[in-house]
Amino acid sequence: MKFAYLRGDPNPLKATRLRCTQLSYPLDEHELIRGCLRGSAQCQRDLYERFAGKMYAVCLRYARTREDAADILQEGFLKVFTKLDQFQFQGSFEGWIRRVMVNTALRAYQKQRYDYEQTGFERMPDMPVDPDAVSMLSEAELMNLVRQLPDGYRAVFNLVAIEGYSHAEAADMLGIQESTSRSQLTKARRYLEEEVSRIQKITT
Amino acid sequence: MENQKHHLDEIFHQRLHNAEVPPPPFVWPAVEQALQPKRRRRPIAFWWLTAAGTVLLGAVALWALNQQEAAQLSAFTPPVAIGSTTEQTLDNPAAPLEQPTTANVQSESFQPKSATRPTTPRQHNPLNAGERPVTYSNTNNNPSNPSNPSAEPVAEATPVSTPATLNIANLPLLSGENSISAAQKADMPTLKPFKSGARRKKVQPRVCYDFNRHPSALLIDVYAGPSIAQRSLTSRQDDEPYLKQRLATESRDLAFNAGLRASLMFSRNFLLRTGLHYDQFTEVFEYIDPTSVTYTLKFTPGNPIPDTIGVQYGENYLKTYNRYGALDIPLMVGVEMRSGRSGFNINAGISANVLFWKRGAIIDPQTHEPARFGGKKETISEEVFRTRLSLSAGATVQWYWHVTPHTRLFVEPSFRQVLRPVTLQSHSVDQRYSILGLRLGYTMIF
Repeated sequence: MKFAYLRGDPNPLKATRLRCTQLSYPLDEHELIRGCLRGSAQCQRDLYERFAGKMYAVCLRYARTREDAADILQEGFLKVFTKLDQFQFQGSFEGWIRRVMVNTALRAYQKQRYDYEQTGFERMPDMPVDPDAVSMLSEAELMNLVRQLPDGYRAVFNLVAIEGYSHAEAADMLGIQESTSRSQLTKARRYLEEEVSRIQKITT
Repeated sequence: MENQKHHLDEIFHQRLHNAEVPPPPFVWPAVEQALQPKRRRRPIAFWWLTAAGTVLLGAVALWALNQQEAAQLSAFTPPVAIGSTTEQTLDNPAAPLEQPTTANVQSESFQPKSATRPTTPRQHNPLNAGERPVTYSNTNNNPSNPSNPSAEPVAEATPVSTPATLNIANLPLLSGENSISAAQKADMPTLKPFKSGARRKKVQPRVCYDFNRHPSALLIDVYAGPSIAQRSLTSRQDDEPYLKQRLATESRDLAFNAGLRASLMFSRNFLLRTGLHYDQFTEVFEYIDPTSVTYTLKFTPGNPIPDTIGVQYGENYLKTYNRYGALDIPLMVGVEMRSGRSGFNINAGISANVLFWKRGAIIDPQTHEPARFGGKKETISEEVFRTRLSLSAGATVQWYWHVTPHTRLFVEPSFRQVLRPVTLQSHSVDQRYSILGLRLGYTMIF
């Protein structure tokens, strides 16, 4: 596989990026957006290339499955390109695109009311979780932990803990009570702590 | 404390907020397709254009063929008369002929001496002068009579028989010829067989284009025909089960080729050829999953619990046609050998691919389940095929037959090897093609 990579680029998307870099790229982010607004296919592709990795990680955190995440990513980018004229060129473009993705992800599961969800994790973890143990976990493991959370917990944990939204904002986005959001977050943390301690037990 | 940065939140935020995961390769094509729905229609437009172009070219070719045939037919009579007169001038250089001579001959023939001369041809002259050509031909019983050269112009003169004056004008011409040959004496018996033979020989080469006189020419070919696309599948990595699955599910089907080619003939026998060549090959994909289980869940909006759960056990059968199309620009050199009306040429060269489209289903290299590639319903988990075929090397042998000096029909077996595999290097299986084709076509020479 490595050999194949050295000889030629099997990934057409990556190959395009290489081609872009030859043509006076990398473009400034705003130039790229203007190019997309002009309808340049190359700029659209480059914009996708620039943000697809990060946004797929966002989608993975919100989605139940990888397939769902890919669908969300696709729908999200479609929205980004069709509603790009709404971007005011103020503030971070990454923030804007991330918000579009998060909204798309939340809408995908809108049919399920998060506060209806029932889970049986009310007990406290057996032993206090060592913060170092959590930081020892790899990115992929942390991602898996988040993805294992039940839908409601996962959405709130993502929005409040990872994205940094307030409970009021998260509650508004999810269409739930602020108090529900708080309790969901607490439950999510407990769930995660329990999972981390379980992993800790296995490893030690 | 709850919402102000719990240590767990902090760690997750730091590690996951800016995390990157490579997205699946099929997402961008789907986005691109959704953004530009018109792009996908290009193949259909292309098909229509190709079909329309082929029909148009065929129609033009047929029309040109008819035109030339008609031209040849109409041009067939005058050359005979011209040929006979010119040969006469060659044979009898002493005779003062060419255009004005007809008048002279006529004036001579009007003289009464034609009737008084004792030679055989002149014996018929009084009959000719008074009667129709039928009676004239009937009188040609004498074996020593030069009946052939004289009979033919008369037969040709019959279509213009309406004005009587014309007939009269023709007949003295004959008598004039005879009088000239008689004046030369002794040449008559040798003239007769030579004339008829020479004229026939001259007609036949007219069907061929005279490359000796025009050593360079432009040839336009239109062709189409069936072909066989020989595929080879080899495993590059140790992925034998996948290779076996591929081999078991795919089989060869119909293929055809078509093209338009412009060739430059130079130095009489050498050809430089280029144009547009299209190859399409089909494969059948057949997959049977004997233990297929399908679950069906039905939800009512707003209710997370499904209403109905259905489970289906059975055999899942999937059959589809994988189609691959390649448009190439060939560049070939050739040598042509001619023998009379037909001949052959041998060509060899390379071709560069400009378009490679594909649609169908294969076993997915990751899930080992059937997956679609190309088209709107693409479900394959990774990119398998190249976007272009790049270079091919090939050779053809053409046998042609001249219909008219400027048109030919030809049969041309061809062989083409696509130099690189059509699959990407990241794919575990190398899929290569060599194509054997038969081109049936039509050439116009300019």
